[in-house]
Amino acid sequence: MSSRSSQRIRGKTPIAEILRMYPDGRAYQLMRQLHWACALCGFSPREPLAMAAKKHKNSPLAVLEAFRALDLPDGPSDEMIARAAVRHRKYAMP
Amino acid sequence: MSDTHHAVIPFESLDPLTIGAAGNEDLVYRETIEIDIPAANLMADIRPDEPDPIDDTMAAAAAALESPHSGPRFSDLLAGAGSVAVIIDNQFRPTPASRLLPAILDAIETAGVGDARIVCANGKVFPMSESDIVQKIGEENLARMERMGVPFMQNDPGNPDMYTYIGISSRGTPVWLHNAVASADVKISVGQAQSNHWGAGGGGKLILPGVVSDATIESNHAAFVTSPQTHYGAVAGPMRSDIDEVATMCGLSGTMNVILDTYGRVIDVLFGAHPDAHRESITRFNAIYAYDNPVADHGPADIAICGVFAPTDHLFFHTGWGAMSTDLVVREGGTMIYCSPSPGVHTDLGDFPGLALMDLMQPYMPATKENYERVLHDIHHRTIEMWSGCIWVPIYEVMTRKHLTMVTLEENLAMAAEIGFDATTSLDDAFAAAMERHGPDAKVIVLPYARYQLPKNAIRMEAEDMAALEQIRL
Repeated sequence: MSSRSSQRIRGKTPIAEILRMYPDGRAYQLMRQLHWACALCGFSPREPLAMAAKKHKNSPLAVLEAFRALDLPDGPSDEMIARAAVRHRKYAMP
Repeated sequence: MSDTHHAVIPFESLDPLTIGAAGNEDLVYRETIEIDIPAANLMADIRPDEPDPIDDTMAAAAAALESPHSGPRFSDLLAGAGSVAVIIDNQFRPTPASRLLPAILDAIETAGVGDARIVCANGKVFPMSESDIVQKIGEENLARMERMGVPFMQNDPGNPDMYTYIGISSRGTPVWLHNAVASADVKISVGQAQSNHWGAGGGGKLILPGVVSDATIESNHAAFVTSPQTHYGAVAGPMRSDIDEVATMCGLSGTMNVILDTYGRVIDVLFGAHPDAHRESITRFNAIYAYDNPVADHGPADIAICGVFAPTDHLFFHTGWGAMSTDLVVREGGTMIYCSPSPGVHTDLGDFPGLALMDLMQPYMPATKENYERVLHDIHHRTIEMWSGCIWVPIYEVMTRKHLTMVTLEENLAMAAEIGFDATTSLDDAFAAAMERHGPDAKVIVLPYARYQLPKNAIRMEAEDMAALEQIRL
Protein backbone atom coordinates (compact mmCIF):
# COMPACT_ATOMS: atom_id res chain seq x y z
CA MET A 1 0.00 0.00 0.00
CA SER A 2 1.27 3.44 -0.88
CA SER A 3 2.24 5.88 1.84
CA ARG A 4 0.95 9.41 2.23
CA SER A 5 3.66 11.04 0.15
CA SER A 6 3.21 8.76 -2.86
CA GLN A 7 -0.54 9.37 -2.80
CA ARG A 8 0.21 13.06 -3.04
CA ILE A 9 2.01 12.58 -6.34
CA ARG A 10 -0.36 13.38 -9.16
CA GLY A 11 0.12 14.14 -12.80
CA LYS A 12 -0.11 17.82 -11.96
CA THR A 13 2.49 17.70 -9.15
CA PRO A 14 5.47 19.88 -10.13
CA ILE A 15 8.88 18.24 -10.47
CA ALA A 16 10.43 20.47 -7.80
CA GLU A 17 7.76 19.44 -5.30
CA ILE A 18 8.42 15.76 -5.96
CA LEU A 19 12.15 16.31 -5.42
CA ARG A 20 11.43 18.01 -2.10
CA MET A 21 9.23 15.09 -1.01
CA TYR A 22 12.26 12.83 -1.15
CA PRO A 23 15.28 14.62 0.33
CA ASP A 24 17.11 11.29 0.34
CA GLY A 25 17.38 11.58 -3.45
CA ARG A 26 15.01 8.75 -4.44
CA ALA A 27 13.04 10.91 -6.84
CA TYR A 28 16.24 12.32 -8.36
CA GLN A 29 17.54 8.78 -8.85
CA LEU A 30 14.35 7.79 -10.66
CA MET A 31 14.61 10.85 -12.93
CA ARG A 32 18.17 9.79 -13.72
CA GLN A 33 16.98 6.31 -14.61
CA LEU A 34 14.51 7.89 -17.03
CA HIS A 35 17.36 10.04 -18.41
CA TRP A 36 15.59 13.23 -17.43
CA ALA A 37 17.53 16.37 -16.57
CA CYS A 38 14.44 17.76 -14.85
CA ALA A 39 15.97 17.95 -11.38
CA LEU A 40 18.37 20.65 -12.48
CA CYS A 41 16.12 22.28 -15.08
CA GLY A 42 14.51 25.67 -14.83
CA PHE A 43 11.16 24.09 -15.64
CA SER A 44 11.16 22.14 -12.37
CA PRO A 45 9.25 24.67 -10.23
CA ARG A 46 6.32 24.68 -12.66
CA GLU A 47 6.55 21.54 -14.79
CA PRO A 48 3.89 19.01 -13.77
CA LEU A 49 5.02 15.38 -13.77
CA ALA A 50 2.63 14.41 -16.58
CA MET A 51 3.88 17.27 -18.77
CA ALA A 52 7.48 16.27 -18.09
CA ALA A 53 6.62 12.72 -19.12
CA LYS A 54 5.04 13.93 -22.36
CA LYS A 55 7.95 16.24 -23.07
CA HIS A 56 10.33 13.33 -22.77
CA LYS A 57 7.98 11.18 -24.87
CA ASN A 58 7.34 8.79 -21.99
CA SER A 59 3.92 7.46 -21.04
CA PRO A 60 2.45 9.76 -18.35
CA LEU A 61 0.61 6.84 -16.79
CA ALA A 62 3.70 4.63 -16.64
CA VAL A 63 5.72 7.53 -15.23
CA LEU A 64 3.10 8.26 -12.61
CA GLU A 65 3.04 4.62 -11.60
CA ALA A 66 6.83 4.60 -11.19
CA PHE A 67 6.89 7.77 -9.11
CA ARG A 68 4.03 6.58 -6.93
CA ALA A 69 6.03 3.44 -6.26
CA LEU A 70 8.84 5.44 -4.67
CA ASP A 71 7.28 4.70 -1.29
CA LEU A 72 7.08 0.96 -1.77
CA PRO A 73 9.61 -0.88 0.40
CA ASP A 74 11.74 -1.72 -2.64
CA GLY A 75 10.79 1.33 -4.69
CA PRO A 76 9.65 1.02 -8.30
CA SER A 77 10.40 -2.35 -9.85
CA ASP A 78 12.73 -2.70 -12.83
CA GLU A 79 9.69 -3.44 -14.96
CA MET A 80 7.96 -0.26 -13.84
CA ILE A 81 11.05 1.81 -14.60
CA ALA A 82 11.47 0.14 -17.96
CA ARG A 83 7.82 0.86 -18.84
CA ALA A 84 8.21 4.47 -17.75
CA ALA A 85 11.46 4.91 -19.66
CA VAL A 86 10.10 3.79 -23.05
CA ARG A 87 10.12 6.63 -25.54
CA HIS A 88 7.11 6.32 -27.75
CA ARG A 89 8.31 8.12 -30.79
CA LYS A 90 9.59 5.77 -33.48
CA TYR A 91 12.93 6.89 -34.77
CA ALA A 92 14.15 6.25 -38.28
CA MET A 93 17.68 7.27 -39.02
CA PRO A 94 17.83 9.36 -42.18
CA MET B 1 69.28 17.62 -14.36
CA SER B 2 66.34 15.63 -13.02
CA ASP B 3 65.00 12.92 -15.26
CA THR B 4 61.47 13.54 -14.02
CA HIS B 5 59.21 16.54 -14.01
CA HIS B 6 57.20 16.94 -10.81
CA ALA B 7 53.82 18.38 -11.79
CA VAL B 8 51.59 19.91 -9.15
CA ILE B 9 48.05 20.15 -10.43
CA PRO B 10 45.05 21.87 -8.83
CA PHE B 11 42.45 19.37 -7.70
CA GLU B 12 39.87 21.42 -5.94
CA SER B 13 36.28 22.51 -5.77
CA LEU B 14 34.51 25.39 -4.11
CA ASP B 15 30.93 26.49 -4.34
CA PRO B 16 30.85 29.44 -6.78
CA LEU B 17 28.51 31.33 -4.47
CA THR B 18 31.06 31.12 -1.69
CA ILE B 19 33.79 32.37 -3.98
CA GLY B 20 31.70 35.16 -5.39
CA ALA B 21 30.21 36.29 -2.14
CA ALA B 22 33.01 36.00 0.31
CA GLY B 23 35.95 38.08 -0.78
CA ASN B 24 37.59 36.19 2.06
CA GLU B 25 41.29 35.45 1.71
CA ASP B 26 40.93 32.51 4.10
CA LEU B 27 39.01 30.71 1.38
CA VAL B 28 41.80 31.21 -1.12
CA TYR B 29 43.78 28.03 -0.95
CA ARG B 30 44.92 25.38 -3.33
CA GLU B 31 44.38 21.65 -3.04
CA THR B 32 46.60 19.71 -5.35
CA ILE B 33 47.34 16.36 -6.85
CA GLU B 34 50.91 15.57 -7.89
CA ILE B 35 52.68 13.34 -10.37
CA ASP B 36 56.18 12.67 -11.64
CA ILE B 37 56.42 12.64 -15.42
CA PRO B 38 59.56 11.38 -17.17
CA ALA B 39 61.28 14.54 -18.42
CA ALA B 40 61.87 12.95 -21.81
CA ASN B 41 58.13 12.64 -22.32
CA LEU B 42 57.21 16.13 -21.21
CA MET B 43 56.18 18.34 -24.09
CA ALA B 44 55.01 21.28 -21.98
CA ASP B 45 53.64 22.21 -18.56
CA ILE B 46 51.82 25.44 -19.19
CA ARG B 47 51.12 27.88 -16.35
CA PRO B 48 49.52 31.30 -16.74
CA ASP B 49 51.21 34.44 -15.44
CA GLU B 50 48.33 35.94 -13.49
CA PRO B 51 48.30 39.57 -12.32
CA ASP B 52 47.69 40.53 -8.72
CA PRO B 53 44.06 40.64 -7.66
CA ILE B 54 42.22 43.93 -7.30
CA ASP B 55 42.15 45.13 -3.68
CA ASP B 56 38.77 46.80 -3.69
CA THR B 57 36.25 45.30 -6.11
CA MET B 58 33.49 47.72 -5.12
CA ALA B 59 35.66 50.73 -5.92
CA ALA B 60 36.83 49.13 -9.16
CA ALA B 61 33.22 48.57 -10.22
CA ALA B 62 32.32 52.20 -9.47
CA ALA B 63 35.32 53.42 -11.43
CA ALA B 64 34.54 51.14 -14.37
CA LEU B 65 30.96 52.43 -14.64
CA GLU B 66 32.19 55.99 -14.98
CA SER B 67 35.15 55.27 -17.26
CA PRO B 68 33.70 52.93 -19.87
CA HIS B 69 35.88 51.14 -22.36
CA SER B 70 33.46 52.30 -25.06
CA GLY B 71 30.09 54.00 -25.24
CA PRO B 72 28.45 56.21 -22.63
CA ARG B 73 29.13 56.23 -18.91
CA PHE B 74 26.53 54.39 -16.87
CA SER B 75 25.39 57.67 -15.35
CA ASP B 76 24.82 59.02 -18.87
CA LEU B 77 22.86 55.92 -19.84
CA LEU B 78 20.65 56.43 -16.81
CA ALA B 79 20.14 60.16 -17.36
CA GLY B 80 16.58 60.54 -18.55
CA ALA B 81 15.91 56.80 -18.49
CA GLY B 82 12.61 55.71 -17.03
CA SER B 83 13.64 52.16 -16.22
CA VAL B 84 16.69 49.92 -15.94
CA ALA B 85 17.25 46.16 -15.86
CA VAL B 86 20.44 44.79 -14.34
CA ILE B 87 21.09 41.20 -15.41
CA ILE B 88 23.34 39.13 -13.18
CA ASP B 89 24.52 35.54 -13.53
CA ASN B 90 23.41 32.60 -11.38
CA GLN B 91 24.56 30.28 -8.62
CA PHE B 92 26.87 28.37 -10.97
CA ARG B 93 29.03 31.37 -11.82
CA PRO B 94 31.45 32.88 -9.30
CA THR B 95 30.93 36.50 -10.40
CA PRO B 96 30.91 38.50 -7.14
CA ALA B 97 27.58 40.25 -7.74
CA SER B 98 27.34 41.24 -4.09
CA ARG B 99 30.45 43.41 -4.49
CA LEU B 100 29.59 44.78 -7.93
CA LEU B 101 25.98 45.76 -7.25
CA PRO B 102 26.61 48.54 -4.70
CA ALA B 103 28.12 50.80 -7.36
CA ILE B 104 25.27 50.02 -9.74
CA LEU B 105 22.62 50.70 -7.10
CA ASP B 106 24.44 53.93 -6.17
CA ALA B 107 24.23 55.09 -9.77
CA ILE B 108 20.56 54.15 -10.11
CA GLU B 109 19.73 55.97 -6.89
CA THR B 110 21.74 59.04 -7.85
CA ALA B 111 20.06 59.19 -11.26
CA GLY B 112 16.67 58.90 -9.64
CA VAL B 113 15.54 56.01 -11.83
CA GLY B 114 12.52 54.77 -9.92
CA ASP B 115 11.77 51.70 -12.02
CA ALA B 116 14.68 49.30 -11.68
CA ARG B 117 14.89 45.53 -11.45
CA ILE B 118 17.59 42.90 -11.09
CA VAL B 119 17.10 39.78 -13.17
CA CYS B 120 19.00 36.52 -12.80
CA ALA B 121 20.23 35.04 -16.07
CA ASN B 122 19.59 31.46 -15.07
CA GLY B 123 18.55 30.43 -18.58
CA LYS B 124 17.00 26.98 -18.25
CA VAL B 125 18.85 26.10 -15.05
CA PHE B 126 16.70 25.79 -11.92
CA PRO B 127 16.29 29.08 -10.09
CA MET B 128 18.38 30.24 -7.15
CA SER B 129 16.95 29.40 -3.74
CA GLU B 130 16.42 32.01 -1.02
CA SER B 131 19.78 31.18 0.53
CA ASP B 132 21.47 31.27 -2.89
CA ILE B 133 20.00 34.73 -3.48
CA VAL B 134 21.27 35.99 -0.14
CA GLN B 135 24.76 34.71 -0.94
CA LYS B 136 24.78 35.93 -4.52
CA ILE B 137 23.38 39.41 -3.96
CA GLY B 138 24.29 39.95 -0.32
CA GLU B 139 22.05 40.89 2.60
CA GLU B 140 22.95 44.58 2.48
CA ASN B 141 22.14 44.87 -1.21
CA LEU B 142 18.88 42.98 -0.74
CA ALA B 143 17.85 45.32 2.08
CA ARG B 144 18.77 48.29 -0.03
CA MET B 145 16.84 46.93 -3.00
CA GLU B 146 13.80 46.58 -0.79
CA ARG B 147 14.15 50.19 0.35
CA MET B 148 14.55 51.34 -3.26
CA GLY B 149 11.69 49.16 -4.52
CA VAL B 150 13.99 47.15 -6.79
CA PRO B 151 12.56 43.64 -7.32
CA PHE B 152 14.65 40.55 -8.00
CA MET B 153 13.43 38.18 -10.70
CA GLN B 154 14.71 35.01 -12.29
CA ASN B 155 14.32 33.59 -15.75
CA ASP B 156 11.22 31.43 -15.92
CA PRO B 157 11.35 29.36 -19.10
CA GLY B 158 8.36 27.26 -18.08
CA ASN B 159 6.11 30.29 -18.28
CA PRO B 160 5.67 31.50 -21.88
CA ASP B 161 3.61 34.48 -20.69
CA MET B 162 6.79 35.99 -19.25
CA TYR B 163 8.32 36.77 -22.66
CA THR B 164 8.15 39.44 -25.33
CA TYR B 165 8.79 38.57 -28.97
CA ILE B 166 11.74 40.54 -30.35
CA GLY B 167 12.36 39.09 -33.82
CA ILE B 168 14.55 36.57 -35.63
CA SER B 169 18.32 36.72 -35.75
CA SER B 170 20.11 36.58 -39.10
CA ARG B 171 20.98 32.95 -38.35
CA GLY B 172 17.34 32.08 -37.73
CA THR B 173 17.04 32.15 -33.94
CA PRO B 174 13.57 33.35 -32.88
CA VAL B 175 13.96 35.63 -29.87
CA TRP B 176 11.61 35.97 -26.94
CA LEU B 177 13.02 38.12 -24.15
CA HIS B 178 11.96 38.16 -20.50
CA ASN B 179 9.39 40.93 -20.02
CA ALA B 180 11.27 42.46 -17.12
CA VAL B 181 14.26 43.04 -19.39
CA ALA B 182 12.34 43.81 -22.58
CA SER B 183 10.40 46.60 -20.89
CA ALA B 184 13.47 48.39 -19.52
CA ASP B 185 14.93 51.47 -21.22
CA VAL B 186 18.47 50.61 -20.09
CA LYS B 187 19.73 47.04 -19.92
CA ILE B 188 23.13 46.07 -18.55
CA SER B 189 24.68 42.69 -17.80
CA VAL B 190 27.11 41.85 -15.01
CA GLY B 191 29.06 38.68 -15.61
CA GLN B 192 32.31 36.76 -15.83
CA ALA B 193 34.33 37.05 -19.03
CA GLN B 194 36.20 33.93 -20.04
CA SER B 195 36.97 31.96 -23.13
CA ASN B 196 35.06 28.72 -23.39
CA HIS B 197 33.90 26.07 -25.82
CA TRP B 198 31.05 28.21 -27.10
CA GLY B 199 33.59 30.91 -27.91
CA ALA B 200 33.32 33.02 -24.78
CA GLY B 201 31.25 33.49 -21.65
CA GLY B 202 29.78 36.65 -20.17
CA GLY B 203 28.49 39.79 -21.91
CA GLY B 204 25.65 39.03 -24.31
CA LYS B 205 25.46 35.49 -23.00
CA LEU B 206 23.55 36.86 -20.05
CA ILE B 207 20.82 37.70 -22.58
CA LEU B 208 21.01 34.40 -24.48
CA PRO B 209 20.64 31.95 -22.79
CA GLY B 210 20.27 33.99 -19.59
CA VAL B 211 16.93 35.77 -19.91
CA VAL B 212 15.27 34.40 -23.03
CA SER B 213 12.64 31.73 -23.55
CA ASP B 214 12.98 27.97 -23.80
CA ALA B 215 12.46 28.09 -27.57
CA THR B 216 15.14 30.75 -28.06
CA ILE B 217 17.68 28.84 -26.00
CA GLU B 218 17.00 25.51 -27.65
CA SER B 219 16.96 27.00 -31.14
CA ASN B 220 20.35 28.68 -30.72
CA HIS B 221 21.97 25.76 -28.95
CA ALA B 222 20.59 23.05 -31.25
CA ALA B 223 21.77 24.94 -34.31
CA PHE B 224 25.23 25.99 -33.22
CA VAL B 225 26.70 23.91 -30.36
CA THR B 226 27.85 21.11 -32.65
CA SER B 227 29.23 23.35 -35.40
CA PRO B 228 32.96 22.77 -35.97
CA GLN B 229 33.28 26.57 -35.93
CA THR B 230 31.99 26.70 -32.35
CA HIS B 231 35.10 26.10 -30.29
CA TYR B 232 37.29 27.51 -27.55
CA GLY B 233 38.20 31.08 -28.37
CA ALA B 234 35.76 31.37 -31.31
CA VAL B 235 34.11 34.68 -30.49
CA ALA B 236 33.58 34.88 -34.26
CA GLY B 237 32.02 31.41 -34.35
CA PRO B 238 28.35 30.96 -35.18
CA MET B 239 27.20 30.35 -31.62
CA ARG B 240 28.78 33.36 -29.99
CA SER B 241 28.06 35.56 -33.03
CA ASP B 242 24.39 34.65 -32.80
CA ILE B 243 24.40 35.31 -29.05
CA ASP B 244 25.93 38.76 -29.53
CA GLU B 245 23.56 39.60 -32.36
CA VAL B 246 20.56 38.55 -30.26
CA ALA B 247 21.84 40.69 -27.38
CA THR B 248 22.06 43.62 -29.78
CA MET B 249 18.51 42.95 -31.02
CA CYS B 250 17.38 42.93 -27.39
CA GLY B 251 18.92 46.35 -26.82
CA LEU B 252 21.67 45.40 -24.39
CA SER B 253 23.03 48.82 -23.48
CA GLY B 254 26.24 47.83 -21.76
CA THR B 255 28.12 45.04 -20.07
CA MET B 256 30.14 44.89 -16.88
CA ASN B 257 32.68 42.11 -17.18
CA VAL B 258 34.95 40.74 -14.51
CA ILE B 259 37.89 38.43 -14.96
CA LEU B 260 38.54 36.07 -12.08
CA ASP B 261 41.89 34.41 -11.53
CA THR B 262 42.26 30.70 -10.90
CA TYR B 263 41.64 31.30 -7.19
CA GLY B 264 38.40 33.16 -7.93
CA ARG B 265 39.81 36.61 -7.14
CA VAL B 266 38.83 39.59 -9.26
CA ILE B 267 41.71 40.70 -11.47
CA ASP B 268 39.86 42.97 -13.89
CA VAL B 269 36.58 44.91 -14.02
CA LEU B 270 35.51 46.59 -17.21
CA PHE B 271 32.30 48.33 -18.31
CA GLY B 272 31.24 49.60 -21.70
CA ALA B 273 28.99 49.25 -24.69
CA HIS B 274 27.86 45.90 -26.02
CA PRO B 275 29.59 44.04 -27.61
CA ASP B 276 32.85 46.03 -27.53
CA ALA B 277 33.45 45.96 -23.79
CA HIS B 278 32.96 42.24 -23.53
CA ARG B 279 35.30 41.62 -26.44
CA GLU B 280 37.92 43.76 -24.76
CA SER B 281 37.52 41.70 -21.59
CA ILE B 282 37.95 38.49 -23.57
CA THR B 283 41.05 39.95 -25.20
CA ARG B 284 42.44 40.71 -21.72
CA PHE B 285 41.48 37.21 -20.52
CA ASN B 286 43.23 35.62 -23.48
CA ALA B 287 46.32 37.75 -22.89
CA ILE B 288 46.67 35.96 -19.55
CA TYR B 289 45.39 32.46 -20.21
CA ALA B 290 45.98 31.73 -23.91
CA TYR B 291 49.30 30.04 -24.59
CA ASP B 292 51.64 29.63 -27.53
CA ASN B 293 50.60 26.34 -29.06
CA PRO B 294 53.47 23.87 -28.69
CA VAL B 295 51.95 21.64 -31.35
CA ALA B 296 53.66 23.67 -34.07
CA ASP B 297 57.08 22.64 -32.75
CA HIS B 298 56.37 19.25 -31.23
CA GLY B 299 53.27 17.90 -32.94
CA PRO B 300 50.13 17.10 -30.95
CA ALA B 301 50.41 15.54 -27.53
CA ASP B 302 49.61 11.89 -26.96
CA ILE B 303 48.58 12.48 -23.36
CA ALA B 304 47.24 15.57 -21.61
CA ILE B 305 46.95 15.93 -17.85
CA CYS B 306 44.41 18.56 -16.79
CA GLY B 307 43.61 20.04 -13.42
CA VAL B 308 40.54 21.71 -12.02
CA PHE B 309 40.64 24.89 -9.96
CA ALA B 310 38.14 26.00 -7.39
CA PRO B 311 36.01 28.58 -9.23
CA THR B 312 35.00 25.98 -11.79
CA ASP B 313 32.55 24.36 -9.37
CA HIS B 314 31.45 21.10 -7.76
CA LEU B 315 30.10 19.40 -10.88
CA PHE B 316 32.08 17.79 -13.69
CA PHE B 317 29.37 19.31 -15.88
CA HIS B 318 31.06 22.66 -15.20
CA THR B 319 34.65 21.65 -14.53
CA GLY B 320 34.86 19.49 -17.65
CA TRP B 321 34.80 22.29 -20.23
CA GLY B 322 38.58 22.16 -20.44
CA ALA B 323 38.21 18.86 -22.31
CA MET B 324 37.27 20.93 -25.34
CA SER B 325 40.28 23.23 -25.11
CA THR B 326 42.64 20.34 -24.43
CA ASP B 327 41.18 18.60 -27.48
CA LEU B 328 42.89 21.27 -29.60
CA VAL B 329 46.39 20.09 -28.64
CA VAL B 330 45.96 16.31 -28.28
CA ARG B 331 46.21 13.98 -31.24
CA GLU B 332 43.33 11.87 -32.52
CA GLY B 333 43.28 8.71 -30.45
CA GLY B 334 45.20 10.42 -27.64
CA THR B 335 44.38 10.36 -23.95
CA MET B 336 43.09 13.18 -21.78
CA ILE B 337 43.43 12.68 -18.03
CA TYR B 338 41.06 15.07 -16.31
CA CYS B 339 41.60 15.54 -12.58
CA SER B 340 38.36 16.80 -11.05
CA PRO B 341 37.16 16.02 -7.53
CA SER B 342 33.56 17.00 -8.42
CA PRO B 343 31.99 16.43 -5.00
CA GLY B 344 28.47 17.34 -6.16
CA VAL B 345 26.14 20.12 -5.10
CA HIS B 346 23.66 20.69 -2.34
CA THR B 347 20.59 22.56 -3.56
CA ASP B 348 17.19 23.54 -2.34
CA LEU B 349 15.83 20.55 -4.26
CA GLY B 350 18.28 18.03 -2.89
CA ASP B 351 21.84 16.82 -3.28
CA PHE B 352 23.10 16.13 -6.77
CA PRO B 353 26.20 14.00 -7.44
CA GLY B 354 29.39 15.23 -9.05
CA LEU B 355 28.47 13.65 -12.39
CA ALA B 356 24.93 15.04 -12.42
CA LEU B 357 23.76 15.77 -15.98
CA MET B 358 26.71 13.89 -17.46
CA ASP B 359 24.50 10.82 -17.15
CA LEU B 360 22.41 12.22 -20.00
CA MET B 361 25.03 10.73 -22.33
CA GLN B 362 24.41 7.26 -20.94
CA PRO B 363 21.85 6.18 -23.61
CA TYR B 364 24.48 6.99 -26.26
CA MET B 365 27.41 5.18 -24.73
CA PRO B 366 29.92 4.01 -25.73
CA ALA B 367 31.06 7.23 -27.36
CA THR B 368 31.50 6.29 -31.01
CA LYS B 369 31.05 8.09 -34.29
CA GLU B 370 28.00 5.92 -35.01
CA ASN B 371 26.43 6.78 -31.68
CA TYR B 372 27.28 10.45 -32.20
CA GLU B 373 25.04 10.30 -35.27
CA ARG B 374 22.25 9.23 -32.91
CA VAL B 375 23.07 12.20 -30.70
CA LEU B 376 22.84 14.58 -33.65
CA HIS B 377 19.61 12.98 -34.74
CA ASP B 378 18.08 13.35 -31.31
CA ILE B 379 19.26 16.96 -30.96
CA HIS B 380 17.40 17.90 -34.09
CA HIS B 381 14.40 15.80 -33.14
CA ARG B 382 14.41 17.84 -29.94
CA THR B 383 14.71 14.63 -27.90
CA ILE B 384 17.93 15.97 -26.40
CA GLU B 385 17.50 19.28 -24.58
CA MET B 386 20.43 21.45 -25.46
CA TRP B 387 20.41 23.65 -22.34
CA SER B 388 22.26 20.69 -20.84
CA GLY B 389 23.41 19.15 -24.11
CA CYS B 390 25.46 22.27 -24.77
CA ILE B 391 27.94 20.83 -22.27
CA TRP B 392 27.66 17.06 -22.34
CA VAL B 393 27.39 16.78 -26.13
CA PRO B 394 30.75 18.53 -26.85
CA ILE B 395 32.44 16.39 -24.19
CA TYR B 396 30.86 13.30 -25.74
CA GLU B 397 32.03 14.34 -29.19
CA VAL B 398 35.60 14.63 -27.90
CA MET B 399 35.21 11.18 -26.36
CA THR B 400 34.38 9.72 -29.78
CA ARG B 401 37.89 10.68 -30.89
CA LYS B 402 39.98 10.59 -27.73
CA HIS B 403 40.19 8.57 -24.57
CA LEU B 404 39.02 10.50 -21.52
CA THR B 405 40.02 9.30 -18.07
CA MET B 406 38.60 11.11 -15.07
CA VAL B 407 40.60 11.21 -11.84
CA THR B 408 38.07 11.92 -9.15
CA LEU B 409 36.76 11.20 -5.67
CA GLU B 410 35.88 7.62 -4.82
CA GLU B 411 32.22 8.55 -4.36
CA ASN B 412 31.94 9.26 -8.11
CA LEU B 413 33.30 5.93 -9.33
CA ALA B 414 30.04 3.98 -9.22
CA MET B 415 28.13 6.59 -11.21
CA ALA B 416 31.03 6.93 -13.64
CA ALA B 417 30.94 3.19 -14.25
CA GLU B 418 27.18 3.32 -14.70
CA ILE B 419 27.55 6.02 -17.36
CA GLY B 420 30.47 4.30 -19.04
CA PHE B 421 33.15 6.82 -18.04
CA ASP B 422 36.70 5.65 -17.43
CA ALA B 423 37.37 6.92 -13.90
CA THR B 424 39.85 6.29 -11.12
CA THR B 425 40.99 7.89 -7.88
CA SER B 426 44.66 7.57 -8.80
CA LEU B 427 46.45 9.95 -11.16
CA ASP B 428 49.46 7.64 -11.11
CA ASP B 429 47.33 4.72 -12.28
CA ALA B 430 45.65 6.84 -14.96
CA PHE B 431 49.04 8.03 -16.22
CA ALA B 432 50.53 4.53 -16.19
CA ALA B 433 47.58 3.23 -18.22
CA ALA B 434 47.95 6.09 -20.70
CA MET B 435 51.69 5.44 -21.09
CA GLU B 436 50.92 1.77 -21.65
CA ARG B 437 48.42 2.78 -24.33
CA HIS B 438 50.72 5.21 -26.14
CA GLY B 439 54.17 3.70 -25.58
CA PRO B 440 57.42 4.92 -24.03
CA ASP B 441 57.83 7.85 -26.43
CA ALA B 442 54.43 9.36 -25.66
CA LYS B 443 54.43 13.15 -25.57
CA VAL B 444 52.77 14.62 -22.50
CA ILE B 445 51.29 18.08 -22.02
CA VAL B 446 50.19 19.41 -18.63
CA LEU B 447 47.38 21.97 -18.54
CA PRO B 448 46.72 22.57 -14.86
CA TYR B 449 44.03 25.19 -15.51
CA ALA B 450 42.54 23.63 -18.63
CA ARG B 451 39.15 25.33 -18.44
CA TYR B 452 40.80 28.73 -18.73
CA GLN B 453 43.66 27.73 -21.00
CA LEU B 454 43.46 27.74 -24.77
CA PRO B 455 46.03 27.79 -27.57
CA LYS B 456 46.46 31.27 -29.00
CA ASN B 457 45.89 30.09 -32.54
CA ALA B 458 42.32 29.03 -31.61
CA ILE B 459 41.29 32.63 -30.98
CA ARG B 460 38.85 34.07 -33.50
CA MET B 461 37.79 37.51 -32.33
CA GLU B 462 36.24 39.04 -35.42
CA ALA B 463 32.56 38.29 -35.81
CA GLU B 464 31.08 37.78 -39.20
CA ASP B 465 29.95 40.92 -40.96
CA MET B 466 26.37 41.25 -39.81
CA ALA B 467 25.91 44.54 -41.62
CA ALA B 468 25.93 42.87 -45.04
CA LEU B 469 22.35 41.63 -44.98
CA GLU B 470 21.06 44.94 -43.69
CA GLN B 471 22.77 46.72 -46.56
CA ILE B 472 21.15 44.40 -49.09
CA ARG B 473 17.76 45.10 -47.56
CA LEU B 474 18.38 48.83 -47.80
